[in-house]
Amino acid sequence: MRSSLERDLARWERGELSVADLGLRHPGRAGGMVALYQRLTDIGGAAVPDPEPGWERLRGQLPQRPDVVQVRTLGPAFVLRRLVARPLALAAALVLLGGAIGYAAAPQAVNHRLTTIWENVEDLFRDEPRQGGPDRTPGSPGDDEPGLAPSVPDGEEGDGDDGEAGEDDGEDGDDDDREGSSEDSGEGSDDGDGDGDDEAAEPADGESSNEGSGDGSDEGSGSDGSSFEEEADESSLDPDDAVEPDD
Amino acid sequence: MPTFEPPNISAPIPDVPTETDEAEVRTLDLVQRLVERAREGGGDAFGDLYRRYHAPLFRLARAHLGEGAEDAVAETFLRAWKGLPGYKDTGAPFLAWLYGIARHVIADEFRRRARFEPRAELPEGLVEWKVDDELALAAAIRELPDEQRQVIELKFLMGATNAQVAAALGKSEGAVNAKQWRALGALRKMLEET
Repeated sequence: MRSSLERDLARWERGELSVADLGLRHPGRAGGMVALYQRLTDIGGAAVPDPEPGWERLRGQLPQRPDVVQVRTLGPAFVLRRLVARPLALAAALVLLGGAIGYAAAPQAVNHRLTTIWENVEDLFRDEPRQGGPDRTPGSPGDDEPGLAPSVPDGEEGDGDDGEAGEDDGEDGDDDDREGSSEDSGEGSDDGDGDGDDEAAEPADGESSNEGSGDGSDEGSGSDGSSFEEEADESSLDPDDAVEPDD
Repeated sequence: MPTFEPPNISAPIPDVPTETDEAEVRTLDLVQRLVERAREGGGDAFGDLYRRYHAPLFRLARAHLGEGAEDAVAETFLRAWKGLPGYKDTGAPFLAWLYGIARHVIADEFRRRARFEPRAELPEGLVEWKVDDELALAAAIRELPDEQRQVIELKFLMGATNAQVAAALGKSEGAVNAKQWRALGALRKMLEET
């Protein structure tokens, strides 16, 4: 639909046709178009003021733009992870560091108790009962501390795997009883001299029964508590029995 | 440093890449880098963009508004600064994006003047407009169909080349050339009628 005038005007614009030739081809029509073209070109080529003063004024008006961290290109999950990951990692590192320092700085008894707790937690997931651990051997440091050896496992069962531990203890009650009795007999036979270690065993039994009743594992704690009580009764009666015959 | 020179009428259309093309590519790369830095908050880069595009925007504003062209340019760049984080490079010249902002600024200024200037001081009829030929011509340009008006404003008032106008409008250079001559024909007719 390009007219011949448009084609020739385009040729004139490209310099392929002079104004005179254009006027000859399109008399009375081309002159006005060329004049208008030149007028528009003059407007576009007119002088403009120096931009520097305008920029200096504008620079003071530009609002501060917050730092753009390409949030638009990131999904909300990434942003959330980014916000949470560092505090979580820092908190985990602090907990681990604090635990390590605390473990290193704690008295040997506390360390031993922690070790015992860990081993008893392991026992909960062990199919076969453990036949005495290294800390349960006669003469181990925990035996000298009153209330440590037999009471801790029951208490930890209550604190840790509440329901399941109690049920397991109940089902395997015979095993637990056997374990408890073997430990107790070991202590008793090793101590030999009686009074001091018996006094030390009483609070241990008391602790075990309290913790056992507190954890809600009825069957397990009941069996353990009765065995300790029986032994405590026997040990407390022994001196009287020994005195009476003398009397 | 002027990027958008008025079209060289006598220059032949190149068929193969020339030094001018390479210079234009370098200019485009430079502008893209400046835009990226300005998007990230680089005030100096935005200053370079201001210096580079001040002249074409000033001419456009002066053609339509006469007085107040400098304020319109400042308002255009202020809006550009605020809108830069959302700017996406679509392949069109950055000038085209600024041109779109400037069109809104000029339209807002016309509305403001219509609201606040007394009716009696407004030019009534094209006879009075002829007192200022440039304003009359600008008024005629505003009467053109959109694409013809855009071609005239980008090419003649802002000094863009045919290729830049074609890229800005998403048209071929041939189509831009045709629209240009039709627009000139329509303008001539409007001005003759007055």
